[in-house]
Amino acid sequence: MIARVGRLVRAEFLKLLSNPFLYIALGVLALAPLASILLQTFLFGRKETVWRSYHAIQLFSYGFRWGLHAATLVQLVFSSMMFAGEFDRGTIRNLLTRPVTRTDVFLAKVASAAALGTFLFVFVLYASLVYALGIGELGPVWDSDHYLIQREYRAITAFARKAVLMSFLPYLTAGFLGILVSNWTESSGYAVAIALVLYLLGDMVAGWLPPAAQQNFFSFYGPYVLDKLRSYAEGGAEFWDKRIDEGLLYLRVPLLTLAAFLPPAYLLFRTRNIHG
Amino acid sequence: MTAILRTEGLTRHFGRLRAVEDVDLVVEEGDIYGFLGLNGAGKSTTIRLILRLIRPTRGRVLIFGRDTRTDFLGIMRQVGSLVELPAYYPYLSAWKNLEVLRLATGGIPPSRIEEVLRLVGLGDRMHDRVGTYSQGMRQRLGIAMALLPRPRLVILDEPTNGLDPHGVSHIRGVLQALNREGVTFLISSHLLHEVEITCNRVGIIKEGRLILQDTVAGILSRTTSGLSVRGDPPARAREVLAAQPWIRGVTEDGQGGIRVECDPGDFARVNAVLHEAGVAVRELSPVRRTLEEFFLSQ
Repeated sequence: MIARVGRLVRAEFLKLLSNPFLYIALGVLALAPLASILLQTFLFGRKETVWRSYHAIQLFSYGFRWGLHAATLVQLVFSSMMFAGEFDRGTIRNLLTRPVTRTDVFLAKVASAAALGTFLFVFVLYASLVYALGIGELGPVWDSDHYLIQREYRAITAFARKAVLMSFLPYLTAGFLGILVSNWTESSGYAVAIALVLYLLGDMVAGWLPPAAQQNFFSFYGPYVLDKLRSYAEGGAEFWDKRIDEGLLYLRVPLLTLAAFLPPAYLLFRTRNIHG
Repeated sequence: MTAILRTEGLTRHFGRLRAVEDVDLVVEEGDIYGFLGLNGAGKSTTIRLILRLIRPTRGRVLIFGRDTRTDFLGIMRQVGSLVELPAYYPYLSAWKNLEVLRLATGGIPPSRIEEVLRLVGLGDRMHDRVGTYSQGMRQRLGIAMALLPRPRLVILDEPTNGLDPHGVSHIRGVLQALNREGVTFLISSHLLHEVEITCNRVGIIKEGRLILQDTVAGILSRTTSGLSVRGDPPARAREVLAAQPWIRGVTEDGQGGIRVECDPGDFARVNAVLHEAGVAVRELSPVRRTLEEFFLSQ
């Protein structure tokens, strides 16, 4: 089974790497953090805690926050086309009439979506870092009025590392929403539209809820941790909410959401009659 | 002969619609089996049931004597198929489309891709994007996909759709050559003349039920519907034959001959009565219907 899934994953990547939309998406994702950094610094100016120049981690938090948002949407588009695209074109017939099980095909697609999501995450992470380090400076965060070190270099980089790790699983979960929607409908156009609307609507509705209730949504955590990082890099005194940090909510909520998304997606795929 | 594909009571209902009902299809090793039926008769649903793209309401499918429910993977290593229109990734070349399927199948050397593309006549365009192909080229690609794993059994749904006469002839030649090498085919088609000259056995499905299954020769021999007679004087010949109570009908064929409707066992009697009546018989030949005429009469 592992060999079959491995071969199917290779086939998925052959398709992905030949898909022109991937390269357009990478172009957008390469520019999104830069646009965000430039816009943020243009709109809000230099923070008073920063000595001489912008702090690279501060710029990174600007760029990565919106770059990650763009990567989430790109990931949603690809994952919602994963199955629906095959139904749309009829190529699912080609796959399911090969010596593979439906479980093999499902696992291969889920693994490919997760691998693509991870790749996009790393891509945006590196793009944000390159811009942040190119424009800003690394080092401690200074209070320029009092010539005091507000944040030690080690503390701020450790905080940034943790913020990046905390944002990963919530980000990846969005891709699995795409996989669930992709199995609902046989049209890739509808699948992409439904997945984007569900995600953006869910995000918007979550924003209207009290803070404690917002923590039940996986989409809450990415912006939350990166806003905290920005605030920390600007010398703010805010730290993680204990429930989120020590209670591992940033892991538990996405994992519970995955547990809610994947079984119905698998069941839909497993029992579907292929007419188209 | 061994049955390479056998369905037993294969049935599929969609709500009240009985799409396929108790179909007992038998494709023997070495057959080119033509599967005929009008649009909506249940051909494609039967093929999807055979390939487990659709789950049956009841019944089972045996391929190479093994049940597809319990040994699907083992069976599908030796089965190639083209279901309805060929499906492909338009942004990939033909070569890459087959590479995707080669990876999905496993155990096929990469050199097989070029081999099979050349076989169906796509050798010169194999690295072009399929999105730029004509309909006929896409159809050839679909056939190449079916032939990729060197299958023992190939199931083709309308394989010559969209091909020009040269393409039809080429693909027919490819299928017949593979058949001589031992590959068995189940071909669903609307091109009855094509089926008549390509297939050795035929099954006809109507409203979800398999109403007939026989060799093409057997069907055609059963469809003999009378005699074409030319004799002198023609008027006398017609008068004599019309007077025979065992002859069901006598009509002029518009070309100076007479069409006589009677049982094949009475053909010799026709000759005898004409001879006794002094009619000089110049021609006496059985009239056979084509597979198309037979199919349309069902």
